[in-house]
Amino acid sequence: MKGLVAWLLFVVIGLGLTFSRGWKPLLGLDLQGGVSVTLQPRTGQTYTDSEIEGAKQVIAARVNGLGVGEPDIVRSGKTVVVQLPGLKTVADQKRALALIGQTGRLTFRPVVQQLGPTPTTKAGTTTTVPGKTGTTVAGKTGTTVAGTTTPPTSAATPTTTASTTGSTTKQGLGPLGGGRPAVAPVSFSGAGAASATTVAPTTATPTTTPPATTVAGATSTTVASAPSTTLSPAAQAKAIAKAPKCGVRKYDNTQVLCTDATGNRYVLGPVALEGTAVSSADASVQNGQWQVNVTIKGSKQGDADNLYNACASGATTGPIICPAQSSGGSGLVAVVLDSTIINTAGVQARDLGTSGFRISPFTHREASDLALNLRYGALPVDFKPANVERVSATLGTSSLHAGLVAGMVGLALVALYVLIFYRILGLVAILSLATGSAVLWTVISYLGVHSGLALTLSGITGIIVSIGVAVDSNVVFYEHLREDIAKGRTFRATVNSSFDSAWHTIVIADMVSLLGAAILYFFTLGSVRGFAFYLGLSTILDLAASWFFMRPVVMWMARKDVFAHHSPWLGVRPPRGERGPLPAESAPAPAGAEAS
Amino acid sequence: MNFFRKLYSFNDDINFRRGWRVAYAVSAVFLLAGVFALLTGGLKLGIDFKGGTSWQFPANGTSVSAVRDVLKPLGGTDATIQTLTTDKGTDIRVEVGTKVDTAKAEAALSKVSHNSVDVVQSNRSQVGPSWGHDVSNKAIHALIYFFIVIAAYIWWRLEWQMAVGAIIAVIHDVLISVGVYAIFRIEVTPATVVAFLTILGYSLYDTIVVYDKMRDNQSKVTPNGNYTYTDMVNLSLNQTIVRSLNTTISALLPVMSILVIGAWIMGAVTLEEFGLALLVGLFVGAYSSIFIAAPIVVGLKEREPRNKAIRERLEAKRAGLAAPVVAGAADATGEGEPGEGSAGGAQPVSAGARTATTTTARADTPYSANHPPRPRKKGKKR
Repeated sequence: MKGLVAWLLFVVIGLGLTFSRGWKPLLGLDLQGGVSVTLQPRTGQTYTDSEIEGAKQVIAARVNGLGVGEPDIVRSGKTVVVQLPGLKTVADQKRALALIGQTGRLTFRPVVQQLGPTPTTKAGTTTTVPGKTGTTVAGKTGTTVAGTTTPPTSAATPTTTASTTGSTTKQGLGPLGGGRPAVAPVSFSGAGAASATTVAPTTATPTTTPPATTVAGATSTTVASAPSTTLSPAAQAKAIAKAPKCGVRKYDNTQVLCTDATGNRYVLGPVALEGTAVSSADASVQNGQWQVNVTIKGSKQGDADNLYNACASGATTGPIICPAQSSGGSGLVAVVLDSTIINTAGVQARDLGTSGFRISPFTHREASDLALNLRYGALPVDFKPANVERVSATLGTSSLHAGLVAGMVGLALVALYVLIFYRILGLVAILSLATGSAVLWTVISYLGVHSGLALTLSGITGIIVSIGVAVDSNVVFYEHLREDIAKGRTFRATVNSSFDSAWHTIVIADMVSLLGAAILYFFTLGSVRGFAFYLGLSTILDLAASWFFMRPVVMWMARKDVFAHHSPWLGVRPPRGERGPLPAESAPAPAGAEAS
Repeated sequence: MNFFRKLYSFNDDINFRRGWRVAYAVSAVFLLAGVFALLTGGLKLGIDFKGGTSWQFPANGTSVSAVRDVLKPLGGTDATIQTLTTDKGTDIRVEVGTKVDTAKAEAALSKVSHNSVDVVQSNRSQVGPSWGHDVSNKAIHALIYFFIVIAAYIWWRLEWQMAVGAIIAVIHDVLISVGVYAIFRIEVTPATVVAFLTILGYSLYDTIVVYDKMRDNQSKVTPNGNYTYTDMVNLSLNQTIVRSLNTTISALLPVMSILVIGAWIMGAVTLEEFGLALLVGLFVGAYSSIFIAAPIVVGLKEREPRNKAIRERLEAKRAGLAAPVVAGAADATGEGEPGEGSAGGAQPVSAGARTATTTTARADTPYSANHPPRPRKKGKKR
């Protein structure tokens, strides 16, 4: 009984929330349309069909990682066309766009030289809050702190980033580009391997701004020169003017000029480590901040070591030039995502350790988007910033209408059939299904709003069919009951044992469906994945409705004399006497073979 | 009507065994036809699998349905037609399968949208499949894992013979459903694939309900009882047939409604694509549980020495005139006096079964001393 009350409460609260919050299922591309994103490769580079195809697959994997929205992704000539359902708000569109079209190529380059913000950068970007930086640093800073130089603007420590940078960065780099602090502290977690080399922990990053840089950045014309660079100002300016922009593959082996999200410029050395060295990436919360944990593959550990050794010693010669950027004598490593520096980090550590590093802080969404991109790898193709178009439904409302009308009629027929066949028990079955469907509606609406779960036409009909099949749990139970009652036992006497054996059957059969759904969900893409989701969901609801609704209600009925003594109400005829268990001798039904 | 009354009145006397052999033959015919059609003609795959051609041109006020109408006679019934809205205006995007003649389509499209042929042509591109090989490969891998895990689960919860039976029955169902699509050259879309998967789930579910009943009834097959394994399965099928019918009917009603009302009366073609697959699949799924999955388990289980011995004894009993007297007497004593029962019952059975008999008898001893005979009690309950 408690279960029944809890279940009904659950149903009512779910429905109440759905209606009061105005949650509605997100209709799929086929029913309501959505946005279409056409990704075109950058001009000047040619790609083979297989590269475009590869890019398509990476995009599919990324979109898939967003949820089960059943996107439509096709290769059209040399372009990739992605259609996503819903996405009515501009913010949603931007996010999808950034995630889909971003090459997502992560590179690690040594910092050759730090320049200040671009001359046009507004002074407002450097809203340093001295008090706050002081508090974060205090105490934690050990003696072995790396000479981690946070460039000028980054004086905005994690605590202040969310508000300040969010408003100042309008580079239009999408969610991944914006809203992130200029230079977030990277901390290398060496898993305690290199004990002598303490890495700079996230919060311990001392905000020792490099001597020559203008902290306030107000003058905005000053080009800060790093203290230990050997270049003369003239050569410097020349190099800066000549330096190609980062983010283009063909400049992988040369020095490039890169900016971070707040507009600070850096001269970076050649790519020392590729993002492909990353073996895994996850978003997680550490000290209340979202961060991305990146693990380096074992095979690339050597490259990682080389880079960090060079930077740790502030190498000015050799294969990797990474001049010291601070009094500590060590250089900086920049983490570059496409054409933007997302991170620079000082190193004192001799090596990277085995467990990789963390990039922080982020908002939740940024962290999960970045992790998603890193996990599914970079696109083998550089795409132009794409344009978004609103697209209409592929099927249109008439199909939706037809599907719904047909579904309603079908369910009404099922209800009628069950009522005629099982009478009162049929009513219980209908109510049991109704509670299950109500929860299903709640879940679909909730996920449609919050996770981009889309309901397509095949999804709708799948649900209708699954409701038809869900009648089965009731049928299995009622058949047990009817059989026992027809053989002369009373409703009351048989209800427990009937439920037990019916429940055994229901659980085994539903477990098979659940296992199948789980496997299909995790190993497939697109509409099969959508199918698996709905199958799993409706199976769980079937189990819940059977246990929390059907069982207590029928048991309650068995205790009431009204039901217990009127077996015709249950769709059972009174017993007609006993029969011997002699199936072998019994005459075969003439129509038995016809059943085939 | 008589048949149904009998069916729904718990008579337990439909002889399914007669149907098994016929069913094997019927299934074999369907399977062969389906596989033959699959190998020779293959499936008629839609645009999602094969790709096609797409155009994009200014709408100039043309409606989607107008475009659809001009494409229909050219074989573009499955065309995807969308409007694209940007800041600059509204475009129409058309995607058709490879079978549509490009030049004819361009002529028709330019006419209906009041664009010159050049405008339409300039924005033509070849479209790759949205359901590419990667998706198919992933799905196939997933299916293989699916079968392995499901088989292991059924083995664990029921018996390995049932795992074999269930998997064969499921493959049978899917092959026949896919075969129908190959034979009649019905177009396969992603929605159809989903329908095939639904069939897979439904068929397994249905089979397991039958198997669980068999597991329930397995205790009836005792060395001196009256049931051979086959008899027991037949009884189980009789006990689940009403449930099978009711479930199939309640699953079929919405599907029929989707087909008849949704697709044929209201004209939503997409609904037909998978409504048909579901219709076929639900029928085949219910049929295979009874006529494929059950006899496979019977075939495997009757090979076991214990079940074989029981069958031989009962067959001898039923066949001969003298035998029933002896065996019947043995049974009678067997129920009352387990020690003697094993000795008497041992007469027609082999050595392998004798040990089985003795163990059963020993297990029965504490009960048979003061209580009514156990087998009869069970018979009454069921």
